[in-house]
Amino acid sequence: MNDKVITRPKYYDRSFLFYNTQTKKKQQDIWKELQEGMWRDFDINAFLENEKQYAIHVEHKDQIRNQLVFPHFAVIEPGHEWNSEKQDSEIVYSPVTLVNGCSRSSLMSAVEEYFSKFSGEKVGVHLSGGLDSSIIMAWLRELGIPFVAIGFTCNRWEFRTERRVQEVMADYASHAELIDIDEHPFYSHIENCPKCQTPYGVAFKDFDISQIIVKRYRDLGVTTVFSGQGGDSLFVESVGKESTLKLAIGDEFEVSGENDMYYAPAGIKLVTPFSDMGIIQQIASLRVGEQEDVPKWWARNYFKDILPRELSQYCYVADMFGLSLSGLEMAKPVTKKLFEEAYALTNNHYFSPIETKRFLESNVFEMEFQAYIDYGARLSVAAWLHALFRTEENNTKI
Amino acid sequence: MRAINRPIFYYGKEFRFNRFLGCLICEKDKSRDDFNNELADSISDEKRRDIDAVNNPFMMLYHEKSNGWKAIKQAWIAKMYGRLITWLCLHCYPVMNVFIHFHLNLFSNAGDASLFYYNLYPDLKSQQTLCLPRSIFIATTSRRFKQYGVLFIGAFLPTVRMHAWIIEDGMPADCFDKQWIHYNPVMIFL
Repeated sequence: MNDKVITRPKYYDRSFLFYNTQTKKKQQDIWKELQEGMWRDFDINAFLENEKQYAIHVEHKDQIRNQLVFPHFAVIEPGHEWNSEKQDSEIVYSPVTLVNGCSRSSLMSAVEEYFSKFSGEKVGVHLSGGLDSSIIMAWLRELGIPFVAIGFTCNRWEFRTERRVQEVMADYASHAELIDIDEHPFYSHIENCPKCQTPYGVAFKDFDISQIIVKRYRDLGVTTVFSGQGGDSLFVESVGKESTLKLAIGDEFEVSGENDMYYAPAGIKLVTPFSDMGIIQQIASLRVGEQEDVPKWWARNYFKDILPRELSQYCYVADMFGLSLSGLEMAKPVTKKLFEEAYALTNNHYFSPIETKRFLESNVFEMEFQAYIDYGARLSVAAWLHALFRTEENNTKI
Repeated sequence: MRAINRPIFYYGKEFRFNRFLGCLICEKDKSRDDFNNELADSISDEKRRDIDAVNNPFMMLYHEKSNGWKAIKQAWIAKMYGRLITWLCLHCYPVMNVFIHFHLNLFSNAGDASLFYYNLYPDLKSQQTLCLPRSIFIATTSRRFKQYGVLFIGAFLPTVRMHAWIIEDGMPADCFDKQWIHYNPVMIFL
């Protein structure tokens, strides 16, 4: 293991920062420390517990207390800041000043101003079949801005409503493509997933399909892709009648990680209109007095004149759990190899031959959500270790 | 109530619901029967509409909650029956194949019957595991069900999760149930 070399990749998720508990200072990255062997001290137990707590308390992230996964470094996730008193990271909430007199016209002015920053570029939008990206498509069409729409599709039963929406929304685009996820299932090619500094950043579940979609955007000359990230907060959270609202923009609205790992290497920017303060202010101000709205009925009703009835009158959302479990099952041969490699590197009992055998013999289709989280967390550690020692082009040797 | 088996063919396997045991049976793919022919020949237009709405959820209608369930005269009968159905489903499932043919006609429609059952067991979390007794209760107590309703039992493949739900008059009976959309029907009771 002494000749194992870790090289810093040119592209990695820069939205994660680190707090050195010894020097009491923040660091942009820990590649040097990883190269010096800190990966050996990674606390898998702490990581698994953190992932479990996150799954349980995802609705109340403020209450999650993360254990350190490295001896002297705390991971500061995107949209978080280190709190010295609590000795833990906490979500950063940005104030949004609500204004009176907002209207559809003022909202569209803000939207137009936002999109004007990309004038002259060929733009794209995720053709997911979901409400948030569909609203972006409807805005672009209303403003007469042509765009490319690419997404994944599948023939599963639970996906039938998304398929219908994708079919309708494809007509909004100047060019639309749907890629069959059965050809690029979840967890496929996880051995090639991007190099990350911690397993937290390991984006390997939809790695293969994301790569394919990005390549298609690049082949079609798209330089900016709009994501619907942030809509889940902006259209859902209750908005009181106070003059200021607080939103976790960095945590819930940004797509910098996905941009850094997938889009930037292809020369494309991934951005989300819903993180633009002008748009946030307009929508939040229009929603003053609204209670929590998980199905997003306010948005469906407000934009019903530009959305198809499938989105304005119904709030169906496909459950991806079946896709995830199928992908895990198909990934078992690669999982076995990754676990064997992880055991050779760490000698950790989680990856021992007996534990690996037991792990792989488990019936993923009988898994409940907690067991799935645990399974995925272990796999992310193994995939992280594998990626760490992969040599790549354009690396900076530390 | 007539039962129609609707096997699902999923990646080389056939999944069928065994109504006597109450479980999903998985077998290697045999011949792919075209069950749609049977349905087309022998189902009323009203019930066909309910089945079509499950196939294409954008045809589904939704109703407002009403308070009609509070005004039924034989509430004590409904309570006893509801608790009996629930107990039998949980402890002696095969007997349900007898009860499923009952017609007590206690409620004007499936929506009222559904709300009554939710009031019987107010904890929403436990209601998640009571979909089958709830659906049987609704099917056997709604006056409109015999002519306008369909009871579905579905599977969320490839998981082992199953769910039961009622569509009546082209509307889901249960206003709290958002899960039915993920489940592919393996058995239909008309």
